[in-house]
Amino acid sequence: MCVLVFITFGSIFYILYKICNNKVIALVALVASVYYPVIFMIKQMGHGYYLQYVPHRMIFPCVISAAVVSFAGSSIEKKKFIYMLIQLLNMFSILWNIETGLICTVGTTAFFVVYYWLHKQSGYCFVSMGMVFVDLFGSWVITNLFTLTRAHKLTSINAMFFGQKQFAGGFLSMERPFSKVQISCWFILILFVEVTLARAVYQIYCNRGKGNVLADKYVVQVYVAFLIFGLQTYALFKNSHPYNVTPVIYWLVIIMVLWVQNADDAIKKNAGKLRNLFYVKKWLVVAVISIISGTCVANIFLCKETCYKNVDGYLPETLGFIESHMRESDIELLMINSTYMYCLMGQSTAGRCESCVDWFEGEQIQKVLERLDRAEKDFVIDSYAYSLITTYDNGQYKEVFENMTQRKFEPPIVSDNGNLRLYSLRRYY
Amino acid sequence: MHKKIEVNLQTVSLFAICVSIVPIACIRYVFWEYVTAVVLFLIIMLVMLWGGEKTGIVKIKDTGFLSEAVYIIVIIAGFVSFYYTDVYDGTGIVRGSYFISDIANRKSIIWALAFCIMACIVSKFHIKIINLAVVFCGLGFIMYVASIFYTENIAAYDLHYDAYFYPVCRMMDGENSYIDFHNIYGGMVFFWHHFYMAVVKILFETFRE
Repeated sequence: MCVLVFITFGSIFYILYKICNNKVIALVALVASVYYPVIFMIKQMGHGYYLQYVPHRMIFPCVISAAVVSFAGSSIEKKKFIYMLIQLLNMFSILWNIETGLICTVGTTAFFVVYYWLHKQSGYCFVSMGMVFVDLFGSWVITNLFTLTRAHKLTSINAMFFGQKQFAGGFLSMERPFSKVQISCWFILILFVEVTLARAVYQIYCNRGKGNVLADKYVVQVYVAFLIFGLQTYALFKNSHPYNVTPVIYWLVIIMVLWVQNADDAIKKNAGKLRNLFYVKKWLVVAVISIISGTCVANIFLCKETCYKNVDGYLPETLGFIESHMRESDIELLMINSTYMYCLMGQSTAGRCESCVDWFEGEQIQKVLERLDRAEKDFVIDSYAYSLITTYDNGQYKEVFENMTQRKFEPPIVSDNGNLRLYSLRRYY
Repeated sequence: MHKKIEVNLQTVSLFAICVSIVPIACIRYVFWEYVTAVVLFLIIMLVMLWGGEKTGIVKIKDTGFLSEAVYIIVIIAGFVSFYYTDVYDGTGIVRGSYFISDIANRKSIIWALAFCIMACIVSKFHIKIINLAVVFCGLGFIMYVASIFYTENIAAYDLHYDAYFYPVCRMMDGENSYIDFHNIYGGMVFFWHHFYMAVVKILFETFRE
């Protein structure tokens, strides 16, 4: 996990270092870009990690973006190699995580199309468009190579998009009342994207066909704006927090650095009052970045400590309860951290019930209940999973759960803190 | 012959922003309002740029004293909006701000000032050793950030650890993602489980401690 995080932020640092003339601003921006995905998110998660975002869904957008920035500033010979590398990365990004992979693939394709159109190489535009299908097919082939080797079966597209279908449940039709419209970071994010696009589209328009470096810079900006747009759109899958911009807000730091560079270019071109205004703009942006990075440095050293919060008391208590009451080594755990508990108990095997954090639909709860009913083994359920089962959809599974436990299991043994319930099969008595 | 109307780029973008934000107030479907806003904005910009030139009616220019106002407004609004980022929990109730509480201490302000002054001073010089020092400091900082994600720390009581490692453990158990069980986080498990198989003993020992 450390290595993935290192690669992720290393890529962000590379992007910032490449685009900044003033390297200290690159360093300050790096610190600022760490604030949101690390400190802010750990606090937002109640002193925990959101591994599905950091580094899981951050790594490929960051690495591919670093490759794109490198492509824009490299020689023609190197460009071919980086182009192929980006396509390979796209393939693996789709394999790694479908949503972010698709966004990266479409984003890089848009980048290459605009780039080659700008350089009047329309042939490459079509090749780049075709590469989307090559990337998709490539990742599908790699996935099937894995499953064929291991299980001698091909995967269905349906199975691959299972997660996306789940997240998308009600996603497109999610309505919210007008009273909840407020000036939030959500709208500001749109403004950032739009203002960046405005400048970039204008500069690309003015510099089309000239094949200069300035225009290339703005193509990168279009790409970054697209990436924010795409990643935020996918973040909407998390429909419980439709206005949560935490997954993409670190990109705003990169956008702000791009603005600093735009201002720098304008300072060189203009004179008088206008030049002063660009100075104001530049240092205003630098001040904002500095404030975020200052906040980051002042708080980052507390991060590790806060993440250990309550572990000393929680772990021995939980593990002690499970181990002292379990009658066989094979026990089903329905807990928010059951995989970790299996590890602590020295078992590499996970439970057969899907992790309860991922119970988004009634169908999944239904499957868990069926599983418990079929499996002839004891189970431990924590208050989180218990609450989900008994309250989901106005308690429609509560009765099923209670009937099943009364029929097959002894009355539960409840832990001292009330967090855990252990249900033993009746045959033991 | 009609006279060309010269329009400032920022005026155009401000107009496009205002028009594109209308869907946010009107559509009320979270996904569509966002997508419509950005797509509408792009269409307006492109129509103004290309259409203006083709018809010869509008000419868009980039510079102007007020032109940067839009950028400055967005920067300030963006900065102020951080106040809202962590307070919106889906119910619309303002509960507090981590950012404001983080920034409201002397250390944060001192660091911010130090960074700003450092950036200002260094902008006057172009010395290679500064670039080298920046790379060194940057990599050191990233290493520290990475160390926060050391597996032992993550494995603490954590809501999302389980979801993330659940498919990995199923794969380690000999089952197959997309075949035997549903996996919503993608094919990363095809790589991950090999790695975990290799280090699993070390991990168990670490956890046990």
